[in-house]
Amino acid sequence: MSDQVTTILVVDDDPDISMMLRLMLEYKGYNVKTADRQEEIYRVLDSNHIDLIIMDMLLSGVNGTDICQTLKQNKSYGNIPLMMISAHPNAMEICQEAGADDFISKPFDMQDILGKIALHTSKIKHTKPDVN
Amino acid sequence: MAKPPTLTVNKTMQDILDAERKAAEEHRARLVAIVESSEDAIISKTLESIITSWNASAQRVFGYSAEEMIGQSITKLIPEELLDEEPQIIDRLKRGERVDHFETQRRTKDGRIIEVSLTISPIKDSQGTIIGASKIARDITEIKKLEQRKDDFIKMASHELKTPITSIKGYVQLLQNIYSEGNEDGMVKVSATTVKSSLNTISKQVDKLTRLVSELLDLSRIESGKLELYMTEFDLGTMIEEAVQDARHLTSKHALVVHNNFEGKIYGDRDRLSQVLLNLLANAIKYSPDSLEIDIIVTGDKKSVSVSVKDYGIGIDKKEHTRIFERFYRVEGKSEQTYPGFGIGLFIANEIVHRHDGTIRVESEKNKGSIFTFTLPINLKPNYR
Repeated sequence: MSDQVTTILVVDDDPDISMMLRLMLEYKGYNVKTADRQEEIYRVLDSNHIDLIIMDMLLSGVNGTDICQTLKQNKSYGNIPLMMISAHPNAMEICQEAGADDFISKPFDMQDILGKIALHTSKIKHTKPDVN
Repeated sequence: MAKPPTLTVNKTMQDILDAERKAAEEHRARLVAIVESSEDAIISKTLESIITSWNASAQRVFGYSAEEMIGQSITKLIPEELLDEEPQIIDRLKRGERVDHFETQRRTKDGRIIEVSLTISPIKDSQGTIIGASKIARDITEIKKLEQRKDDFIKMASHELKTPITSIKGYVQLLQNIYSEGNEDGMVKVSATTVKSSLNTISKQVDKLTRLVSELLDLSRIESGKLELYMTEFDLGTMIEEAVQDARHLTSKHALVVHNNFEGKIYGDRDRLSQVLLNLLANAIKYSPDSLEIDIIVTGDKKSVSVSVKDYGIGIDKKEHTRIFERFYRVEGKSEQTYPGFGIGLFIANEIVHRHDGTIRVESEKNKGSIFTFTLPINLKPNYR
């Protein structure tokens, strides 16, 4: 039970981008967890309350869209808003097809990504006032 | 024997006729030779699509011999889903129109689908009536494949360039936010260490971007034959240590261990060879996300020296071993495609090593890691431009 603090899981295999997102989000007052491998995503989800997932589409060995599809079918985690990020030219369509709730292309603008995150996390709070 | 004048005239006429026939035959033979020696498949057919001639390249491209095809319908070569093409082509020919560089697919004797470019022209008799068509088919399967790889390369290149830009832009915007006027609490929230590490990352990503752009330039230099080497004598061990040190910045996970059994100088382009090693190291790091060590093994004698980079990563299937050195080639496979990369690193490395009269090779098995080794002669005569 993490009170009012919104917790975001950042999944990116590029450590610099993962760290950049962590700093950005922490600076804005979010609590941040990170994962760079598929197994870690579930480890983090199993042991933390996560309000939003931001995930890169290509994760060196696995496709983020495959993980997205599996997560969206998962009873416990399917409702967590999932935002995909990628620099790949056709990524938006691919991610939408995989069931992602939102997409933002790399390189992104700090204000844009924070705006989208605020939108999705506020939705969660309004629709599910008593999470846990 | 004396000959009557009239007979002489007749004989001369005969001579002229013979000479004309001979010339016509020679002309015909020359045309046949041209058709037969053409790289393109040259076929003629009637307006009912029945094949009337079939040159040697037609056999090479489609697999069928002239005996098998003359008298048969051209539709034998057309894949079922494209059968509509033939009546349309015939209609155009009947109107006296040519079909120029029509790109389509055809089926070979062994069932392969190949990409072809067709140029089809009507054949007219001496009265100008269209009696059939000549068809020149060029096999463009390889060209099409290369075009596809070039397209994929451009997509990959934009992805690769955008990744460091994402980092740089993100960190810069974060710092701008922290230091924006009237944001005093930002200064409190963010430690000096964070700011310093942000700046280090920006600098590192700018280097990465520069390296990517250099690779693109190298590719264009290689393609136009303008990749120049600046040959000097240099200490190989020091170069290797420096390259390995650079590569250590690319990973926080792997230990890069040098096993050097060679001491001395070699003659070559130090920067270019360092680029080769760095490329192999970057690949080793990238393709072994779950392992902790990469070994760099240097062995040599008086004549040559070999540098191997050994990783314990995802490995490469045997059938890919020669293709990975090709331009734009990236190992196929759903999982492999999720790794970032241009598809030109090994192509450039191969080119640089070959320009040093050296060799580069790979030993690898899927899921068992890879060893990339380049071998260079030591005492090259300084005759490079």
